[in-house]
Amino acid sequence: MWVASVVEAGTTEGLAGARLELRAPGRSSPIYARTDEHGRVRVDGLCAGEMQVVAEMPEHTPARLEVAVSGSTTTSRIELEAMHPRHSDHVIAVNVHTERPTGVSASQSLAGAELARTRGQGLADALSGMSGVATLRGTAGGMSKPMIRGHVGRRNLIVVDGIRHEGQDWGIDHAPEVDPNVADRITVVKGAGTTRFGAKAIGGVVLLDSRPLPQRPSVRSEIGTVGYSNPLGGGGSARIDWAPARARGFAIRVEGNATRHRAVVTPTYPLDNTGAATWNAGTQLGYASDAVDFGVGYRVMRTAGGICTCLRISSPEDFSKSLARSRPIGAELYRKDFEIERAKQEIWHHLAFARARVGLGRAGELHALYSFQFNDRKEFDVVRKSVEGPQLTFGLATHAAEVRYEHARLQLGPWSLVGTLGGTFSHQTNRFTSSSTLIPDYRQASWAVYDIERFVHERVELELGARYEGLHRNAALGERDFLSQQASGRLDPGACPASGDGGTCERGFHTASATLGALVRPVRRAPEFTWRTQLNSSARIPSIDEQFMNGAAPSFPILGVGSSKIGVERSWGGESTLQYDGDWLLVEAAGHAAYIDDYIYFVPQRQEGQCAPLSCTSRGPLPVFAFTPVDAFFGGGELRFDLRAPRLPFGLAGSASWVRALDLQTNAPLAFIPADRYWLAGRYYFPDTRVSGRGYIELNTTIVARQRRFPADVDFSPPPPAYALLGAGAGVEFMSERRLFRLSLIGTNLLNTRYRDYTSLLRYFADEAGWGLQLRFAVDFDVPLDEPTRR
Amino acid sequence: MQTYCKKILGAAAPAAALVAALAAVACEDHGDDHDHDHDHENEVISQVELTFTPAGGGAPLVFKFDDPDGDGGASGTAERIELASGVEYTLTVRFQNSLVDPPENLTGEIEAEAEDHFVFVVGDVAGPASSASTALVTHAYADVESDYGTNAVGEDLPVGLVNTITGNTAGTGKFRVILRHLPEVNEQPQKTGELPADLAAGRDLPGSVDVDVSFDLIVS
Repeated sequence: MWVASVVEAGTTEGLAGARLELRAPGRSSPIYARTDEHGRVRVDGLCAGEMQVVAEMPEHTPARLEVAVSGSTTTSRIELEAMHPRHSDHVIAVNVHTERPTGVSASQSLAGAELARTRGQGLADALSGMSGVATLRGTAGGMSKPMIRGHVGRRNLIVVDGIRHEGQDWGIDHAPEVDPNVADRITVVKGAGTTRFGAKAIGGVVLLDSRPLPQRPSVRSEIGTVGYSNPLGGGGSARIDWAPARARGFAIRVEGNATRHRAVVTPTYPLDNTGAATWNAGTQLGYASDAVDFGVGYRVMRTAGGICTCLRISSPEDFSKSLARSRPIGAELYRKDFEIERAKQEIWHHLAFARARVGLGRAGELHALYSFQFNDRKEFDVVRKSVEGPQLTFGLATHAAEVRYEHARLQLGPWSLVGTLGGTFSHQTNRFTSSSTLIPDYRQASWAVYDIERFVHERVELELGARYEGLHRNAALGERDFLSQQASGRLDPGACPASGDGGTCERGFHTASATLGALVRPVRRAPEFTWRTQLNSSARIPSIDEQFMNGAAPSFPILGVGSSKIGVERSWGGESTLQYDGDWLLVEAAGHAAYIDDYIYFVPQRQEGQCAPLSCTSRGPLPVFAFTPVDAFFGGGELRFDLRAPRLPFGLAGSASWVRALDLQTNAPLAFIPADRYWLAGRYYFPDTRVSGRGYIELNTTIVARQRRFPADVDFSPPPPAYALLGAGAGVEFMSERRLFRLSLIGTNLLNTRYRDYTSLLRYFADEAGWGLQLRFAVDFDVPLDEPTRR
Repeated sequence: MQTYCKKILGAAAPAAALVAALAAVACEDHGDDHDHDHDHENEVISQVELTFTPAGGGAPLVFKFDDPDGDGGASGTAERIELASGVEYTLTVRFQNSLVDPPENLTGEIEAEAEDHFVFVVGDVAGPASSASTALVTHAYADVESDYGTNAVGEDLPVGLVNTITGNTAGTGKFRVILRHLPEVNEQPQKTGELPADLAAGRDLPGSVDVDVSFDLIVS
């Protein structure tokens, strides 16, 4: 008999529902077990000998150990390190840590070996395997954004270690300046997360969480390398955590990574000038104790990426000619080199933060967070040689502060009540410099208060959330910008007085959001079966470009204009998810629908003048698109499953996602909504040996249908045909108690299929990447500096 | 000041950069100035000026395309070109950025990079780049790259900053001027002598469009 208790390292609290995989002597297939409510597990009928144990628990780092099972009772104690910062005993008992998605919303996470297989890729590529998440691909190496259930950019929020990422995310070709390598878990909340995260989270939230600094004296390190064949390149990353034995509670982390690759190659030609170089560095220092934690840190990202020579947007005539070609003009001159020439983007992103947690005894605990971000973006066009500098520069500085109080658990009969009350404040300034108008400089201050309360019963959890927020924006329009927008009637005369050479527009917004959700385990004997449902009403405040854009839209031969009068966009939505998460089978089905009142959409607008209905410019007549409120409907669903045959070494996994979006005024579909997407993978698992484990080989296919629902007059070319891509992967881990080696090889587009994707900006100009291989090797090790571990 | 801060950030160790990053706010906080064009690289062409000088003498005729807000939402306007049939004109083309004060003449930069630029005249025009059935005027190039500097690469091709235009038949039509920027791709020239003929035949051209403006044309 073997008796084990699984506890959280640091707090030594028993962890209920932890999953154990035992490779016992004399058995060909593993034994699975789960801990009880006190974190204990008991397994009978084991033969004496060496047994390998892997313990896993959501939100915790898995542990591996070898147990010598004797003839009588053997006891073990397994400590799992929490992925989230420490919490007081008074609030930890239920799963309410607020940096994570709440249990009632649909979400999907990437961690451990799955996350390791995405290292060295950009954020959007790392998430692209999730159901309901598509990619809005740019025209440069690795510059893409995630699309969650058809929402992108302005309607998605990215949160890194609890800090809202602030970048120039309105630009369709501006990738989020976030390094996915810092994260040990990436979670996508599919659907509105506005009550917790604010108005921008109307479409979805991407949460990147790094693991906390070690809480017991140790040196922990992760070193990884990656090499890929298309685009040819590679990189390395390292992270060292050190918690000295002499200064208990203190820990420091130093991390960094760099990748460089040359131009991407399609099946028939290279995408000239799509090389990229990126590096990241960061450090943080923390102190943790039962009563108080604090930490300070700094991270910097530097990235430079070329924009494909094939991108020619200078005139509508050129653009329509390039649409008609199956291959970019001059492709015979294209090269797959490392050199990054004009046109290109160069970005610095700095983040500094300080955080604290104070235990308030029986009252709960208080968290405080301050962050400063500076986003420095430079865009270089192909220009005459006498011009050396960038054509567009953006400098976005954001100070943000948040205080939240997590109240102690209240017992109301059989129900527990836990909750968080919080307030945020942020101040942002943006400086835009260019010889053309595009967006004005602005200053804005925003604040919010929110409360999320959760009633927890044995099989039912209810969540109520509400948020109220305000934003005050002060946009300073230059003379030319002001006069041009005033003449076209796009400025609200009452809010935009002339000042100096130009004008200043001031406007305040106030909105409220609310959610109501439930998590139910309908079958008492099958707690793995859950039903989640959520209703929400969320409001989004228009972003700077929606109010004041006045210029050539990035990446398209169009002029884009905003309107200072545009108001708040409000969604009324609901979603429901059924999930069975058993030992050998995961099945999940989710459905969602939302009505969006005054959805801010980009629609063509008829112009007067010599070039009517277009606008005359020095580069020919260009169509004008205006941000216009329309009423819209978004709906769809996702399905995913992961089956591992109980006694056989085979597995099958798949996912499917559908999104439908309509402009309710014209009943026309909305543009740039991802097409229906299906993914299927078959796996063979190698038997574990004394040194290796989790070996697998996989063959997969991704099928993307042609988008048949598209508006006739908004896009420049019809959606590309459907495509299917073949992929493969293989991986293995070599593990011991102190070290873990991970090796994986992934093949993409192995049949070298020529294809274009509806949500890729590249589709107007060139094909997507051809076949490629990615090889990754990583080593994690953990050396305790105090007494021998009690495992 | 701005540049100085960024240099510190780029070179220093992370700990020092933390301090510098916080200090950068002071440098970046700029208040309400409207000075978008300050210290910035620009090469916007907002004005195209066509000067037709009669070969037999007489006052030059000047016609302009002007887009006073650049790529802003307001439409630009082109003046109507009025020429006489049977008269030969020397057409000089000038490109200007009137969005800065004082306006900047960009023609010099195009002359300096004559091997990377090509001006095409199309519309109701008979000439190297256009084979219109109702040609009101005839166009011929009257300059070559070596007029503006040494011809380093390939043939000594026309540039199109100076042209000869001859009024043919009376009528109304269009006169369109295109400036194409053809920088080398991977050290290979993109500008070739076939480009005008390619354009006339409706074939796709390499490079990008710097200027594409259409004027109404009257030949009397």
